[in-house]
Amino acid sequence: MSALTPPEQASDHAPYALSAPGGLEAAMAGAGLRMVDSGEVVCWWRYTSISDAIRGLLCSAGGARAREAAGEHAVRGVLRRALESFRDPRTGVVSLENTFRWVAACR
Amino acid sequence: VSAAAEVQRRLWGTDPRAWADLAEAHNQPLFEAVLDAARVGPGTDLLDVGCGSGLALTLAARRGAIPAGLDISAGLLGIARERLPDADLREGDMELLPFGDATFGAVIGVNAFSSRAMRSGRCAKRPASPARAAGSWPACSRRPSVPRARWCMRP
Repeated sequence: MSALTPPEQASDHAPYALSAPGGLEAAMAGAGLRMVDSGEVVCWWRYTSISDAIRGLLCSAGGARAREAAGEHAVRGVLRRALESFRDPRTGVVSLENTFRWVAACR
Repeated sequence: VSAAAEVQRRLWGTDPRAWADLAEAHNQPLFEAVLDAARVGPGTDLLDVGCGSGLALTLAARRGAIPAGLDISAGLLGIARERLPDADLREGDMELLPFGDATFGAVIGVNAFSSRAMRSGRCAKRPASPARAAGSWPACSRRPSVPRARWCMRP
Protein backbone atom coordinates (compact mmCIF):
# COMPACT_ATOMS: atom_id res chain seq x y z
CA MET A 1 0.00 0.00 0.00
CA SER A 2 2.89 2.32 0.74
CA ALA A 3 4.02 2.08 -2.86
CA LEU A 4 0.71 3.58 -3.98
CA THR A 5 1.28 6.78 -2.02
CA PRO A 6 3.06 9.64 -3.78
CA PRO A 7 6.47 10.35 -2.20
CA GLU A 8 5.47 13.89 -1.30
CA GLN A 9 2.70 12.51 0.91
CA ALA A 10 4.78 9.78 2.52
CA SER A 11 5.59 11.82 5.60
CA ASP A 12 1.90 12.40 6.38
CA HIS A 13 1.66 8.97 7.90
CA ALA A 14 4.85 7.22 8.94
CA PRO A 15 4.07 4.06 10.88
CA TYR A 16 7.64 2.81 10.56
CA ALA A 17 9.27 6.07 11.57
CA LEU A 18 10.58 4.69 14.85
CA SER A 19 11.23 1.11 13.81
CA ALA A 20 14.86 1.25 12.70
CA PRO A 21 17.43 -0.25 15.07
CA GLY A 22 18.00 2.33 17.77
CA GLY A 23 14.97 4.35 16.79
CA LEU A 24 12.90 3.52 19.83
CA GLU A 25 15.84 4.00 22.13
CA ALA A 26 16.58 7.39 20.61
CA ALA A 27 12.94 8.37 20.98
CA MET A 28 12.98 7.51 24.65
CA ALA A 29 16.29 9.26 25.27
CA GLY A 30 15.06 12.31 23.38
CA ALA A 31 12.03 12.43 25.64
CA GLY A 32 14.23 12.36 28.72
CA LEU A 33 13.27 8.81 29.60
CA ARG A 34 15.50 6.03 30.86
CA MET A 35 15.17 2.72 29.06
CA VAL A 36 14.48 -0.20 31.34
CA ASP A 37 13.33 -3.01 29.08
CA SER A 38 12.60 -3.97 25.50
CA GLY A 39 11.42 -6.91 23.48
CA GLU A 40 9.66 -8.22 20.42
CA VAL A 41 6.22 -9.75 19.98
CA VAL A 42 4.90 -11.73 17.04
CA CYS A 43 1.30 -11.11 16.11
CA TRP A 44 -0.42 -13.30 13.58
CA TRP A 45 -3.02 -11.46 11.55
CA ARG A 46 -5.40 -14.14 10.35
CA TYR A 47 -8.40 -13.51 8.12
CA THR A 48 -10.96 -16.03 7.02
CA SER A 49 -10.78 -14.90 3.41
CA ILE A 50 -9.01 -12.57 1.02
CA SER A 51 -12.02 -10.27 1.19
CA ASP A 52 -11.83 -9.97 4.96
CA ALA A 53 -8.10 -9.40 4.76
CA ILE A 54 -8.56 -6.60 2.28
CA ARG A 55 -11.22 -4.95 4.39
CA GLY A 56 -9.08 -5.35 7.50
CA LEU A 57 -6.12 -3.70 5.81
CA LEU A 58 -8.09 -0.99 4.05
CA CYS A 59 -9.55 0.28 7.32
CA SER A 60 -6.12 1.16 8.67
CA ALA A 61 -4.61 4.58 8.18
CA GLY A 62 -2.20 3.12 5.65
CA GLY A 63 -5.08 1.63 3.71
CA ALA A 64 -7.02 4.87 3.78
CA ARG A 65 -4.05 6.82 2.55
CA ALA A 66 -3.40 4.42 -0.32
CA ARG A 67 -7.07 4.57 -1.26
CA GLU A 68 -6.99 8.36 -1.28
CA ALA A 69 -3.95 8.34 -3.53
CA ALA A 70 -4.72 5.54 -5.97
CA GLY A 71 -8.40 4.79 -5.63
CA GLU A 72 -10.07 1.85 -3.96
CA HIS A 73 -10.12 -0.34 -7.05
CA ALA A 74 -6.35 -0.06 -7.49
CA VAL A 75 -5.64 -0.74 -3.82
CA ARG A 76 -7.90 -3.76 -3.77
CA GLY A 77 -6.15 -5.12 -6.83
CA VAL A 78 -2.72 -4.68 -5.32
CA LEU A 79 -3.77 -6.25 -2.05
CA ARG A 80 -5.49 -9.18 -3.71
CA ARG A 81 -2.34 -10.04 -5.64
CA ALA A 82 -0.06 -9.48 -2.65
CA LEU A 83 -2.19 -11.49 -0.26
CA GLU A 84 -2.57 -14.49 -2.52
CA SER A 85 0.80 -15.88 -1.46
CA PHE A 86 -0.29 -15.74 2.17
CA ARG A 87 -3.55 -17.62 1.56
CA ASP A 88 -3.93 -21.26 2.49
CA PRO A 89 -5.34 -22.82 -0.69
CA ARG A 90 -7.13 -25.49 1.32
CA THR A 91 -8.96 -23.24 3.78
CA GLY A 92 -8.76 -19.83 2.17
CA VAL A 93 -7.40 -18.38 5.41
CA VAL A 94 -4.93 -15.53 4.99
CA SER A 95 -2.13 -15.38 7.59
CA LEU A 96 0.31 -12.54 8.02
CA GLU A 97 3.11 -12.76 10.56
CA ASN A 98 4.02 -9.37 12.00
CA THR A 99 6.76 -8.69 14.50
CA PHE A 100 6.51 -5.66 16.75
CA ARG A 101 9.19 -4.17 18.94
CA TRP A 102 8.37 -2.59 22.26
CA VAL A 103 10.33 -0.59 24.77
CA ALA A 104 9.67 0.45 28.36
CA ALA A 105 11.19 3.46 30.07
CA CYS A 106 11.01 5.43 33.28
CA ARG A 107 11.28 9.12 34.00
CA VAL B 1 -5.38 20.42 16.52
CA SER B 2 -2.12 20.06 14.64
CA ALA B 3 -1.96 19.40 10.92
CA ALA B 4 -0.50 15.96 11.64
CA ALA B 5 -3.46 15.14 13.85
CA GLU B 6 -5.91 16.27 11.19
CA VAL B 7 -4.29 13.83 8.78
CA GLN B 8 -4.59 11.01 11.29
CA ARG B 9 -8.21 11.94 12.03
CA ARG B 10 -9.04 11.65 8.34
CA LEU B 11 -7.10 8.44 7.76
CA TRP B 12 -8.41 6.61 10.80
CA GLY B 13 -12.00 7.68 10.34
CA THR B 14 -12.90 5.70 7.25
CA ASP B 15 -14.13 2.43 8.73
CA PRO B 16 -13.65 2.27 12.50
CA ARG B 17 -16.00 -0.69 12.94
CA ALA B 18 -13.93 -2.78 10.55
CA TRP B 19 -10.81 -1.86 12.50
CA ALA B 20 -12.40 -3.00 15.73
CA ASP B 21 -13.90 -6.16 14.26
CA LEU B 22 -11.25 -7.31 11.80
CA ALA B 23 -7.92 -5.79 12.72
CA GLU B 24 -7.42 -4.64 16.29
CA ALA B 25 -7.67 -8.02 17.99
CA HIS B 26 -4.76 -9.35 15.96
CA ASN B 27 -2.50 -7.20 18.10
CA GLN B 28 -3.70 -8.54 21.43
CA PRO B 29 -0.37 -10.31 22.18
CA LEU B 30 1.34 -6.99 21.64
CA PHE B 31 -1.09 -5.17 23.92
CA GLU B 32 -0.51 -7.71 26.66
CA ALA B 33 3.26 -7.42 26.31
CA VAL B 34 3.09 -3.63 26.51
CA LEU B 35 0.82 -3.77 29.56
CA ASP B 36 3.24 -6.20 31.18
CA ALA B 37 6.17 -3.92 30.36
CA ALA B 38 4.36 -0.95 31.90
CA ARG B 39 3.53 -3.11 34.92
CA VAL B 40 -0.15 -2.40 34.60
CA GLY B 41 -2.13 -4.06 37.34
CA PRO B 42 -4.76 -3.38 39.98
CA GLY B 43 -5.07 0.33 40.65
CA THR B 44 -2.70 1.50 37.93
CA ASP B 45 -3.88 4.81 36.54
CA LEU B 46 -3.11 4.29 32.89
CA LEU B 47 -3.20 6.55 29.86
CA ASP B 48 -3.24 5.04 26.38
CA VAL B 49 -2.16 7.68 23.88
CA GLY B 50 -3.82 6.85 20.60
CA CYS B 51 -6.16 4.36 22.22
CA GLY B 52 -8.18 3.73 19.07
CA SER B 53 -11.17 1.52 19.66
CA GLY B 54 -9.92 0.67 23.13
CA LEU B 55 -8.86 -2.97 23.20
CA ALA B 56 -5.61 -2.30 25.09
CA LEU B 57 -7.53 -0.29 27.67
CA THR B 58 -10.15 -3.02 27.93
CA LEU B 59 -7.40 -5.54 28.69
CA ALA B 60 -5.95 -3.11 31.23
CA ALA B 61 -9.32 -2.72 32.91
CA ARG B 62 -9.55 -6.50 33.23
CA ARG B 63 -6.29 -6.30 35.17
CA GLY B 64 -7.87 -3.83 37.56
CA ALA B 65 -6.29 -0.71 36.10
CA ILE B 66 -8.04 2.66 35.87
CA PRO B 67 -8.11 3.34 32.12
CA ALA B 68 -7.94 6.67 30.33
CA GLY B 69 -7.44 7.26 26.66
CA LEU B 70 -6.92 9.83 23.99
CA ASP B 71 -7.53 9.48 20.28
CA ILE B 72 -8.05 11.80 17.36
CA SER B 73 -10.64 9.59 15.65
CA ALA B 74 -14.19 10.15 16.87
CA GLY B 75 -15.28 6.92 15.23
CA LEU B 76 -12.69 4.76 16.97
CA LEU B 77 -13.27 6.57 20.24
CA GLY B 78 -16.99 5.89 19.99
CA ILE B 79 -16.29 2.17 19.96
CA ALA B 80 -13.90 2.55 22.89
CA ARG B 81 -16.68 4.31 24.81
CA GLU B 82 -19.04 1.43 24.12
CA ARG B 83 -16.47 -0.93 25.58
CA LEU B 84 -15.44 1.27 28.52
CA PRO B 85 -18.37 3.52 29.43
CA ASP B 86 -16.81 4.62 32.71
CA ALA B 87 -13.35 5.43 31.40
CA ASP B 88 -11.98 8.92 30.81
CA LEU B 89 -11.75 8.84 27.02
CA ARG B 90 -11.09 12.07 25.19
CA GLU B 91 -10.94 13.10 21.59
CA GLY B 92 -7.86 15.13 20.92
CA ASP B 93 -4.36 15.64 19.61
CA MET B 94 -1.49 13.79 21.27
CA GLU B 95 0.67 16.85 20.71
CA LEU B 96 -1.69 18.85 22.93
CA LEU B 97 -2.52 16.43 25.70
CA PRO B 98 -5.69 17.49 27.53
CA PHE B 99 -4.54 16.12 30.87
CA GLY B 100 -2.88 17.94 33.68
CA ASP B 101 0.65 17.38 34.84
CA ALA B 102 1.20 14.61 37.37
CA THR B 103 -1.83 12.60 36.37
CA PHE B 104 -0.80 9.09 35.36
CA GLY B 105 1.29 6.32 36.78
CA ALA B 106 1.77 4.62 33.42
CA VAL B 107 1.48 5.69 29.81
CA ILE B 108 1.36 3.47 26.78
CA GLY B 109 1.20 4.10 23.08
CA VAL B 110 0.81 1.21 20.68
CA ASN B 111 1.67 2.01 17.08
CA ALA B 112 0.57 5.54 17.84
CA PHE B 113 3.73 7.57 17.59
CA SER B 114 5.67 8.73 14.59
CA SER B 115 8.47 11.20 14.34
CA ARG B 116 6.16 14.18 14.11
CA ALA B 117 3.74 12.95 16.70
CA MET B 118 6.22 12.40 19.50
CA ARG B 119 5.59 15.75 21.07
CA SER B 120 3.33 15.74 24.05
CA GLY B 121 2.62 17.53 27.23
CA ARG B 122 3.33 16.65 30.80
CA CYS B 123 0.84 14.92 33.02
CA ALA B 124 3.06 13.11 35.43
CA LYS B 125 2.70 12.84 39.14
CA ARG B 126 5.01 12.01 41.95
CA PRO B 127 5.36 8.29 42.21
CA ALA B 128 4.24 6.04 44.96
CA SER B 129 6.24 3.48 43.04
CA PRO B 130 8.38 3.65 39.91
CA ALA B 131 6.23 4.25 36.89
CA ARG B 132 6.80 3.21 33.35
CA ALA B 133 5.98 4.16 29.86
CA ALA B 134 5.83 1.57 27.16
CA GLY B 135 5.21 1.71 23.49
CA SER B 136 5.58 -0.33 20.40
CA TRP B 137 6.18 0.00 16.70
CA PRO B 138 6.35 -2.37 13.76
CA ALA B 139 9.76 -4.01 13.68
CA CYS B 140 10.69 -3.06 10.16
CA SER B 141 11.54 0.50 9.35
CA ARG B 142 12.16 2.75 6.42
CA ARG B 143 13.09 6.12 7.82
CA PRO B 144 14.73 7.64 10.87
CA SER B 145 12.93 9.74 13.40
CA VAL B 146 13.62 12.85 15.41
CA PRO B 147 11.24 12.64 18.34
CA ARG B 148 11.19 14.92 21.31
CA ALA B 149 8.49 13.52 23.48
CA ARG B 150 7.49 14.33 26.98
CA TRP B 151 5.52 11.55 28.55
CA CYS B 152 2.71 12.12 30.96
CA MET B 153 3.83 9.80 33.67
CA ARG B 154 5.28 9.96 37.11
CA PRO B 155 8.91 11.02 37.23
